[in-house]
Amino acid sequence: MNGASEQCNQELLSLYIDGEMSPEESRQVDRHLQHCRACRQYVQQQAELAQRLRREVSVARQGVDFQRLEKRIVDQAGGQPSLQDRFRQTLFSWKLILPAAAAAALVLFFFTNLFQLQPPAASGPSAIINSFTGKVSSVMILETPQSHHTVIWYREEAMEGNGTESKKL
Amino acid sequence: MGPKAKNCNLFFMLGLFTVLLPVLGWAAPPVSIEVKTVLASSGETYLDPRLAEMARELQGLFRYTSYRLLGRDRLTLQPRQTGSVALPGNRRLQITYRGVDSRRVELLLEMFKDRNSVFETSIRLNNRSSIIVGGPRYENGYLLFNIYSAF
Ligand SMILES: [Zn+2]
Repeated sequence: MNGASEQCNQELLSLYIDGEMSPEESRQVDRHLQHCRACRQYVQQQAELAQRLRREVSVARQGVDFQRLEKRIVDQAGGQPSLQDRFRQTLFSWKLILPAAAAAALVLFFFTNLFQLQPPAASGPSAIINSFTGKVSSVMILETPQSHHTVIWYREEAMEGNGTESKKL
Repeated sequence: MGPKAKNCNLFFMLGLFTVLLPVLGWAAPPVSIEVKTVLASSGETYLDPRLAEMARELQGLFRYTSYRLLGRDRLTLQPRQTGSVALPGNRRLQITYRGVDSRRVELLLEMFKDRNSVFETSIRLNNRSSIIVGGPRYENGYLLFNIYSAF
């Protein structure tokens, strides 16, 4: 954004990129962009950056939400000793009233409900990463945009003095 | 507690047991796993037709122009069983099948290189779906491992 300083205005360009301009203003910017290479590049860079950011934010959001949701469900299901106790309490307090079959149905009901609580797989990532530990120099958890396949991308740590293979790194 | 109550307890425990058995049994079928080893690189343009779907997906994340299938290994694991797949560059992937819930397979993946553990990750993978693990440099590109599991 050098030269032609009167018309080169990053703030206006930001409004333009975000689609927050009136059609007339936006036409003016269009006209300016036809002549100004610096602004064209700026717009392109910003658009690419915004797109990448959106993608990364959406990946991060999906990862966090599902993990937290699942963890909460797992905690509720297995983490609390009270669930097992509740089974027992229910069975023991009702045992003189209910026949065994009914109690059994109750247990089954608990179990099926528990499984149904989990988030639908179709909308989530193909895999949930519970933990990752290791001697890597970096690791990224990604998700493919369409089919939401989970990708673990890691960089091996250069292991020195450990055979010929590692020296290639 | 009188003898009558004790009998009652026993009766209920038996009832509970007979209900839980099929539930638990259902929760742990054997799982089949397939590991595809792929070399992704830039420069030449080549796409193995068996990798078309995967490559299309990865296009959104990476900029490789060549995807070569180097190997394909299959394992069938019982619950708590560990299997292992030999990978290029003196690497080995060890997979432990920990169990399933209604739609996810819980796996422990451990990667070794030159017999040293590189990383260990615990994942819950959708049934009939796959995860891609990748990143190590190999020859002129990078290795990707597509790990699919189904029960
Ligand atoms: Zn300009």
